[in-house]
Amino acid sequence: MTFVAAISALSSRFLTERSFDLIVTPALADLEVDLASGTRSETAARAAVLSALLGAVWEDAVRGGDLARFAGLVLIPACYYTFFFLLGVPKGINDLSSTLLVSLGIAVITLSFAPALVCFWPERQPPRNAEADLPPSRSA
Amino acid sequence: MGETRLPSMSATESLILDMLRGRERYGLELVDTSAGRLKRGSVYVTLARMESKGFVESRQEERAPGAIGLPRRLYRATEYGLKVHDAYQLLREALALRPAEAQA
Repeated sequence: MTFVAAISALSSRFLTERSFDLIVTPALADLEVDLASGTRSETAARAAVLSALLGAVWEDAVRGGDLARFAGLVLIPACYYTFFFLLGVPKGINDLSSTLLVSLGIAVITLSFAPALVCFWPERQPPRNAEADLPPSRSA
Repeated sequence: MGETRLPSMSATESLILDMLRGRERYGLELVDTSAGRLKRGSVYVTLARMESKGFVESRQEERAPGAIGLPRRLYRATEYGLKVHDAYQLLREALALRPAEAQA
């Protein structure tokens, strides 16, 4: 799967048509310009597209009023995992190394965030294929 | 009686409106001419927000038949956006005054 196809697929899943048109499509068009002109590094150009995608997701979440509900759905499993984690450490968390604590924290966040993101986030729009609009040489 | 809600305008939005005064520009062009004050990753989010507020308008560029690739977007400031911008500019200048300067 190419970068543009991946961005397009993610947008189809998580973004409204409006956010795709106003935020992600112009960023993808800029990526094309960058790849054609070679004025900027490809990595920086792709990072800008990813940043635009994340910003669009945030805009949609805030605008749609889904943020509080989504946060609640993330917090429920987070509390669940944290509770069992604390049960498994009877001597308290002071005995654990900071690296282990951070790792467990990341695991709890991932286990809580990922299912809520995949299952809750509403399907926004039918899939699209922005890659079809791109010239074959630049669709890498 | 309902209270009128005043439009808000951030410093970034104000900067963009300054650059769009009297001409249309691409998003990337705005980033390039901002001397690092606008970031590529966030400029389109800001522009979309400004469009929702009615501060800017955008359109897809006109392209020759058979042109390939994604169309770019051109932005221009609205009359409303410029009026709000000018009002905020006056407000900022007034608030930056020291008491002695205000009396002069």
